[in-house]
Amino acid sequence: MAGKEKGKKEKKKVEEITFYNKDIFEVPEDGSPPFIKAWKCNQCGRLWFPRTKYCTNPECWSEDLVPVPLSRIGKIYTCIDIYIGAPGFKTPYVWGYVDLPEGIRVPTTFAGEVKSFEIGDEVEVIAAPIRKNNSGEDIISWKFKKVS
Amino acid sequence: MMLKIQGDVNMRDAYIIGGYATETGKLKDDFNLLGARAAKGAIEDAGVKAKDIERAYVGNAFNGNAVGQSVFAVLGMCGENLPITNVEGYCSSGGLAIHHAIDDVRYGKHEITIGVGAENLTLHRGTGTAFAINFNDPNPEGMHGMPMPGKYGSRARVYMNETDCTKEDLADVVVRVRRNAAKNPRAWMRNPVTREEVLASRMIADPITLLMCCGITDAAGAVVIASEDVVKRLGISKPVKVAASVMISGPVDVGHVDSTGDDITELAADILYKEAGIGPEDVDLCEIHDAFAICELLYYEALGFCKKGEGFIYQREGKSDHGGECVFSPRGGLLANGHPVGGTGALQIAESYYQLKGRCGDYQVDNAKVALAHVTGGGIYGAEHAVATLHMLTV
Repeated sequence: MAGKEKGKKEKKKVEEITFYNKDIFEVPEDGSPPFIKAWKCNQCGRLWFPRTKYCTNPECWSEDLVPVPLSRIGKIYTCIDIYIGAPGFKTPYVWGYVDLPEGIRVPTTFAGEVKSFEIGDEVEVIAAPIRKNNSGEDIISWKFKKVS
Repeated sequence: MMLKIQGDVNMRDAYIIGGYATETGKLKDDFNLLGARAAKGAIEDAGVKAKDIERAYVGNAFNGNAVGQSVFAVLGMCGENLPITNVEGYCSSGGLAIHHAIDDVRYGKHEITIGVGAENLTLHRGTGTAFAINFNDPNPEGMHGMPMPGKYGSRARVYMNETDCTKEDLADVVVRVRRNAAKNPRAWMRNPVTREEVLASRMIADPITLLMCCGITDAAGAVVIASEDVVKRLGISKPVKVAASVMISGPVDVGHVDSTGDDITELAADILYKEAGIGPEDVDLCEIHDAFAICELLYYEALGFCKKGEGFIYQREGKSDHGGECVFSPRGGLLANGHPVGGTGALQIAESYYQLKGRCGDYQVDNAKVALAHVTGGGIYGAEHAVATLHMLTV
């Protein structure tokens, strides 16, 4: 069946990633705290997440986009305890969205136990393994934990 | 950019003159046989011949390429007499195919067309597999572990935080639609359930339990669309008219959106009501995209049947039930029929056609004159859904 065969071919070619991803998440080498990045259009000033090839303003379409760090602290817009989850994620886990002050909403898992996060909690971004790749290696990306 | 009302150019009326919905469930017939059964049934119901069909659109999401041609080849109809277009709009595919079959008639291109939605998922799905994440797809939601029940569940969490809606309200949605399905001989899940059983079923994403989720099933639906001239020629009394047929794409916004609304549904409903000249207060039955229990409550609001924040009250007051204001999911919706992805939108329309023709027996909506079908598809990152297709039918 066409769809299934297509999926098998793609699997062989896929690179094994261990970091997601350098365009939108940065863990500074000097040890300073990690941060999520959005992309700002130098022509019209609008902010985009994740990285886009063109400024996604159809009246602009500029390719002159630069990364900007976003605030490290945001508010939980919604969070939910997942018991049957996405493949590759150890259950239970807490998943949801964080609203950052720059007007971007970020999907994320939360570092912590089920039943311990509430809508409106202030949370801070950290770097952590979020899942494994096809070779069983960790993929590092962002997570959010409660602001202490 | 102003949204144009679809059909504000000179347009003639289009009618559904035949329809067929298969049963839903884990079926042994593959998508082409299911689609063929539905197409054959609709053509025979219409009282026309295979050679009278001028154009076909077939909606399907996952069964690969040339699905439509495969379907019509079963009926010996694939050939120079029938141009067939395959339509993909994720979960909206079936409704979308019918929308195009309607457009061809109402814009004067053809006299008789057919729209089909068909899907077989269970024959092609490995046990325990879900739709695999493509690691090269820069989609932060998928990479970060978003499961579909979790996505809808997260909207339920916001809704329950902002209103007095409780998990019991979610359970009661399931109780009601399963009660409807119990009387539908085509429905997959025909045994009623209690509130306690729904709440006690396996926790998927708190507060969404297993019985609050639609399952994966197979099915097909089809309708034959025709012009008024054809209706008169065939002498069809009380024909089902397409009052409106709308499709739009989902707005993309990764900012701070209110996820208890459903922007694409609200926008499409607005166009639908304007095009039909009929408002929600006049709708007798409504088949919606109730993939999860929370969907019903949010769609009562997004479709304008009640005020924002009062969807759970609309249900508590019995307004979405028989004897209320509008019967939602009389066939049992996705919750009791499962979601045969590309088939769903066509099933909704074929079943609505049956309702308006008074053929539904024990699950008939009394005095059904106006039906609304709503199916979303999607999505893509940043959009609540990628596509929404809405229809209004009258008799």
